Amino acid sequence: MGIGALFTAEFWAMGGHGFFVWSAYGFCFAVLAALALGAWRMTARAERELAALDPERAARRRNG
Amino acid sequence: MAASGGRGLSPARRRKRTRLYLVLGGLAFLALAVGLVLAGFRDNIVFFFGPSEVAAGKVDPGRTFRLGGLVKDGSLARPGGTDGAVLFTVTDNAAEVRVRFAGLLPDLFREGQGIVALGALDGEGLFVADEVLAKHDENYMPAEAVEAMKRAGTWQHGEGGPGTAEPGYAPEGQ
Amino acid sequence: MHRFANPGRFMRVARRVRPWTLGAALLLLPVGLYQALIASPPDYQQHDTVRILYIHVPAAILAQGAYVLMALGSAAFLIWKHPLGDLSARAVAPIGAVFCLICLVTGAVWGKPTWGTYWVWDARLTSMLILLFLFIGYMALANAFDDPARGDKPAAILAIVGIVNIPVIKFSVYFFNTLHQQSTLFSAGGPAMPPEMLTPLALLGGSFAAFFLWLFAVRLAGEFAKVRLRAIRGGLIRRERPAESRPSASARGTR
Repeated sequence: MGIGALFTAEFWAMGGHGFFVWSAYGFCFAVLAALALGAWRMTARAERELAALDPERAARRRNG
Repeated sequence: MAASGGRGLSPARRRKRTRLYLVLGGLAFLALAVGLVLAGFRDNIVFFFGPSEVAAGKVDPGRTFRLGGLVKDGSLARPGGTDGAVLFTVTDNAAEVRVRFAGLLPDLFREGQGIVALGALDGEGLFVADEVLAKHDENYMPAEAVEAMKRAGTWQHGEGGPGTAEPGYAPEGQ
Repeated sequence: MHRFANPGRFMRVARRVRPWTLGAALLLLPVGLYQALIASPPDYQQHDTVRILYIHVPAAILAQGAYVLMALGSAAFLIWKHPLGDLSARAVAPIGAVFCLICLVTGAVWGKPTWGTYWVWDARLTSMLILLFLFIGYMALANAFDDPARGDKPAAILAIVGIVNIPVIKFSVYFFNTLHQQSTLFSAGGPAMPPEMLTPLALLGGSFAAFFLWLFAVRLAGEFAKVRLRAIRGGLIRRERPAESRPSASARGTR
């Protein structure tokens, strides 16, 4: 079975258990995306504030 | 850091060593305590009792508990009462308990399958279940492979094939 | 190993591995999803719901791995006052909590069609829920004080004490009667699973593990920057002479 399965109703039905399979995958990737976004924002913000306080060091890091 | 040997430790390093022993000692103590507690409460933490434990009189009639075991092959009966109840026997290959259940059975329910039922014993030793859950083992197999084995007559569910190795159902304290 | 003990150098290494870990995670993800959802066969008992396994099991392993990392970091902080230990533990805690939550939620929606229930209080499920509470408790304790440095020690002690839960999770299915089945991957005769089911598990597991490392490297950089920020704002480091490593709590007392 190839990628064409994506366009069949049976694939999405998952043998009648589509609700369970898709809610598991949906939840998993939604939460992981939120985690990634949160981590990225937290780090970017802290590093931005640090750079504002300490411009010389930030410049050295960018060059090094 | 690694240059100075074990003897003649500076006060700072001695403190570090003391803290290391404190943490390790504390952990060992904690692990021992938790292990003892879990071992002591093992009977209370069990999610279900097996038929052997029921036969040994570990549970009184009328008390609600969970019964776990395999649905005995050929034991499933549908008497066809008004509530649509089914009767089957739960076994751990040492003892058996007859179960009556009126309700929705899980998809995985069938003869030879592991189940866990919530209910109570009536006066005659019949287990009247309010809920039946399916317990499966750790083996996974492609459906097609099992179909092929069934066609070839090499599939043995219920007698040594996958699905019978259910160590979880061994009688307690074996 | 010693050269990684220098926080500045360690942070540079962590920064360098970031694109590689993210690249590996994003590369493995579509292949793994294809294998998990399309190419792999349905199970003989569970049919298509077995596909939940391919995210449930990696999440469970990574949640426990995160806890071990958190406890080791906390121990390094408590015993050797190593600043990286505390930072690693703080960085990994939310990651572990989220993977633990994924494990619990995917397990619940897997349990409904197979077992017949979303949740039971058996030893395996309960000990896994305790793991989630330990992560949450650690984060709450670590951030409970106005001066975050004051939360370091109580949180580290909680993390170390909670490590006893890890073997409890592992052996719960062997020691107690549980509804949860025993380990498929680590069963006596090798994985109780055919290769066509192990493939999606390995691919998605690899993707999740790489993503975990990326998250860890990113969060670690953030925690590192936050500590430096606090130090600068507290006047501990003069701006014209920035120190390479973070001043530890004990250094503050002696200054």
